[in-house]
Amino acid sequence: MFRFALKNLFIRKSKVLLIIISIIVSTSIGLIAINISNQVKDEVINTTGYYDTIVGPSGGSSQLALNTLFFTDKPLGTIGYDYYENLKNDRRVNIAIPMAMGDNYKNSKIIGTTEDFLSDKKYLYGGVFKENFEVVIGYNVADNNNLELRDTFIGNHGISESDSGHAHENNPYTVVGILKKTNTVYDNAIFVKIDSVWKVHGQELEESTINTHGEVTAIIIKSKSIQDQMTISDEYNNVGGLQAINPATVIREILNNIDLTKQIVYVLSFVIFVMSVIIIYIITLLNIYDTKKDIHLMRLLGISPKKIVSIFIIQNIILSIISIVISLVTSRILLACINQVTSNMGIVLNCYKMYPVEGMILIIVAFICLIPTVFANLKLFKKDVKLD
Amino acid sequence: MITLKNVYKKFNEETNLHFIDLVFEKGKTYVILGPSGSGKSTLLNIISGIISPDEGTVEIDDVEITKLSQKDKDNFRLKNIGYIFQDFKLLNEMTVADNIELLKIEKVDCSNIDEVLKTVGILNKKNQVISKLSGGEKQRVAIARALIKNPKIILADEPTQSLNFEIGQQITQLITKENKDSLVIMVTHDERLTKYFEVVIKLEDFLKGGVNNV
Repeated sequence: MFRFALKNLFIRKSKVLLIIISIIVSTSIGLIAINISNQVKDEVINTTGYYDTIVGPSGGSSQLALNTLFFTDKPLGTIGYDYYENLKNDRRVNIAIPMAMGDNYKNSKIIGTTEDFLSDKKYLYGGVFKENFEVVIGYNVADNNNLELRDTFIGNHGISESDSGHAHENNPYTVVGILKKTNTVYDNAIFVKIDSVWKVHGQELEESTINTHGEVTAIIIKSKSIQDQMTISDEYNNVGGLQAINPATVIREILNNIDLTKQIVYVLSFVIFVMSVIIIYIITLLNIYDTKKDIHLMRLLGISPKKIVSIFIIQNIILSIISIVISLVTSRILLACINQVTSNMGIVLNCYKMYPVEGMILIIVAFICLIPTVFANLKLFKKDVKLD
Repeated sequence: MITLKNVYKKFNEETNLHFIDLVFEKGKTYVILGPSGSGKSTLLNIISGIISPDEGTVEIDDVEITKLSQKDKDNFRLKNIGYIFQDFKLLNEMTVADNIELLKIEKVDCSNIDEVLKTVGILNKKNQVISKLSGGEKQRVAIARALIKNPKIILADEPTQSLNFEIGQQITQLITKENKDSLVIMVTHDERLTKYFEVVIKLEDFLKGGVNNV
């Protein structure tokens, strides 16, 4: 029966192809929409969860949050190192970490910070930087640029290649650690001692600034309590040229906007999905009417209606399995392509990550694929296949 | 043995068939003659359980076909009757082998397919698609499909109608000579083919009211 169903599909390959394409288009869009929105949400929650305040130059709060925690967009500017010193010694603060960025290596941002920033990270090879110009690189940076431990490279001024100015040829960086893949922005970033960033720029600007503190682009803080966090925010928001933001609040606002986009994508994919179901129904119906003569023939030979319906159901099961597998593969390939764009924006997508809701969608698709066959067969058997 | 008793089938107010009692004996070959539309095909369809008469009974080897459910009729036909149709009734886009092995769906043993195809002279066409065969070859496939299950009864409904006389003769010979122990009933309007059969029946002699009633 399976062999016959398969042959029957093969001789109607153009219609079969049409059904498969319509299922793939609608299913892949649905899967991608759900996968991306979930991954973005997960990544944002993971990244913003730990730190409760970012102190930085005044300007757009979302730019400050995205730049500091997701290494995307340009820094708003710089603030004095003494703010970091004050916060580090503030009894209301558990952890204060300075951040400085302004250079890149082949589009991967070079982030000047302290060891604390990488304290919870796991290493594939090596460990954290100890000396100036030692770097810890993300998994993708190592992978994309074939960098290994002890390899050296030259950073460029500017936050991206297109934005690049001169190369800092006098200060090559040496890889001392490679982070394990995290499927977060850390995979695409390079971390150095903040002093290295100051030295690179200080040397070129003015030899005398070597060994003195430069400025920072932001300071991230973990306060001891919510009340402490609020008072710190209030204090720094009252200082001219500074702002203190709660990254979770800012990111939630951004997510609300993304959520609206998500709803639109969901509605669109639902519309495409409904259209696909209609197309599948029409094609299946035409297919069955096409095979009306064959069905009658099989009935004349004595083949039972149950077996004939089974053949059509097997055909649609084969169709839906093929479509579902291709949809899944297509959605992962598209995710990989989208990741090329989003990873530059600070959102690293894991192409292999699958959410339970995606599985649910695939089951629903399989179920929906069978409905037209069952309906069409019932209709046909009621009307046309009575032999008498 | 097939026994028809007082079989009556009404199609509409003007058209009906009323057969007098008929008996077909096991192992014999019968040809039923009659003009087009005289009810020859209806008779075969009633015998095979494809259609049910409005009155009367049909018995095949002590099984009263007319009393069986449609499912049991289908099953009986599948196991006991090889039906050869005028228009071949083949799956045109599939191969010769596919058309015969289609019966495997109902667990008919098709292991002797090569032997049967050799008997009907189309073993070399086994993997050929039906639409690429000639009319004569298609009918041979239909005969092979009927013979594969070694049926008790072979019913052939004008199997030579769309073929030229020479091919028609070959097909008729195949049906009558390769039947082994089967009871063969072939309907035709071509009287030249009667020489291949043991019993010739003129349908009009067995219809109450004659063929004009049809």
